[in-house]
Amino acid sequence: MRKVFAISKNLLLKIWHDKRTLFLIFFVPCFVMLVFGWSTGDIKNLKVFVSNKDEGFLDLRTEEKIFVSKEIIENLDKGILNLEEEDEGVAREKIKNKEGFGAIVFERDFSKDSILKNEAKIKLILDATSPSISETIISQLRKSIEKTIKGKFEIEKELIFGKEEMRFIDFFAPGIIAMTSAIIAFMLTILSFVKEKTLGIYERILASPISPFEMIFGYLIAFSFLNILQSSIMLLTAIFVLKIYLKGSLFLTLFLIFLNSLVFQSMAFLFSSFAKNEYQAAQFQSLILIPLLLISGIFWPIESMPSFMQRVSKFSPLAHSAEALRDVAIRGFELSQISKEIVFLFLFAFLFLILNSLFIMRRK
Amino acid sequence: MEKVIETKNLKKKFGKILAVENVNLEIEKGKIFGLIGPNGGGKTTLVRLILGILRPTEGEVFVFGKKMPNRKVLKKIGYMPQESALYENLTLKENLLTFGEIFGVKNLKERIKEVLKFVGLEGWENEIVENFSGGMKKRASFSISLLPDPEILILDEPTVGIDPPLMVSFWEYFKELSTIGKTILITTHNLQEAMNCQEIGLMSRGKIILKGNPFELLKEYKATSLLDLFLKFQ
Repeated sequence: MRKVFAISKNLLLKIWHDKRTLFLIFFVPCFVMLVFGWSTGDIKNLKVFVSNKDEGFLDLRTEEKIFVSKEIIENLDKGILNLEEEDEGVAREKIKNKEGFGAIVFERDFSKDSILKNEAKIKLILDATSPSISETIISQLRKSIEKTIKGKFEIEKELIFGKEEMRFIDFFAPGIIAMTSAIIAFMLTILSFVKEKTLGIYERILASPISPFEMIFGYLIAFSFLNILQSSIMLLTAIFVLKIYLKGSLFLTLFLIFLNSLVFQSMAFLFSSFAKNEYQAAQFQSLILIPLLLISGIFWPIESMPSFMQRVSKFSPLAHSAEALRDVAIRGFELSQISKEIVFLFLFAFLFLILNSLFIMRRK
Repeated sequence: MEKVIETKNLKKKFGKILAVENVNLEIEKGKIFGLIGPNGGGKTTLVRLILGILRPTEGEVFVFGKKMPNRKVLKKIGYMPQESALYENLTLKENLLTFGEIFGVKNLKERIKEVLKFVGLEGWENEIVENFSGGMKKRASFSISLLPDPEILILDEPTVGIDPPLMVSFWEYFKELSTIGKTILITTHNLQEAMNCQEIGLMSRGKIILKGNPFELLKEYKATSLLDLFLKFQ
């Protein structure tokens, strides 16, 4: 037993002497849980257009026009749906540009049909990329109609993006792919770099005519190659085995994964200059990667996060790469339509590489 | 004689610890200069300052008249760190190729054959370094520092942990290199082998307390050995 305790004591002592690891041991779980708590909530403020062509129904007894559509709109939860009146054609274009998640369209005879024929028909134009968002819109609309009219009704869906019976896996896959490539790129880079530091090879590198940038680019080329290889395997498995929905270009999807891995490699370089050993490097995974995963709209839509965290997530490269991947995979976007995200990711990688030049191979 | 390495009032502090204190060193071309003294005396720190791996707190280092750190000058320096500093899971040849390319060595394949012959490791190039013995790793590490055919060799404790026959052959290599005009800066805490140096600097607590030819120093201070001399001055 004494021998067993000697080992346990030794391990705890090692951590005790490594003050940074000691700090992280207490800080990380608290931080991760708080980020989790702060970034979850209910879906709200979904932009939905309303195109009301309803001409009403003239009640002959009171000589007043009745607008059933207006009552339905009245009964919608404005906290969850952020309504805006818009012409049907314009609304459709706006949804195609991701300016809204859906449009509720009432035809001319809506009130007449629902009162005289006792059957109402509503058109719902939808961006069905995210099942949780489109289901929220449908259920909110249904609730409001049921509250307003007694008779039968029908919601006729017109999907701009996605498909009927969009599975959760179809929505999740692009985000999961972004996440996996980020973790692989980050951990591979940080661990191999820190290992060389501890082996003394770094010492030889520092005394050689190579510049920090030459070394970083050398790393980037090798790891990007590995990452593209792994991403392709991942993507092909997802497409051919899991049969996930891929509407856009396969090549563009791969390019985005590559870009995402580039960002996380350059990030790993920066953090590796703060890690003395593999212990500390591994801690960065929980300190940096897990919070990023939580706020990047991979597991739940960004629209369900509190507005403060939504703003924070704008600075998460993973949020941008996951969204861009969904744009291509599900919405079928082309390069020009995701240029904003691509520029952001490039800037992010560039920023980290600049920061690296200040910290990597810095002579003390 | 041409001064190859020169330090001026070199000082290095780590927090409160003064690791190197006012070191003024001049090493001439073709000399074997031994930096000797106990562990923790500041030898490795001084070597790293000369290479520009560390930035001095005060003072300056010049190599070939150029202020360090300077990447162009580093091309002319072969450095052998204290740890073997090899890519353990690569073969010897792959290790040599990596550093040969970083140093821009011409006719690399030929050069690799030459250095391996020089250190007696021919035939081992396709072996994974991890399987090497301690002495072989030292020789492999030495062969990497020889690759660029450097003007200066800076060897940090090259003979630590190797058996006497290898130590003898290492000193033969050093002397051979010195005769063809290479400057060698070597650190060691083995006072006996330090007698092989043409000039030594006795380093203790960050300072160089004595400098000169080892035999002349013994005569001058009427000491029987370097250990004797060292104890007198400490």
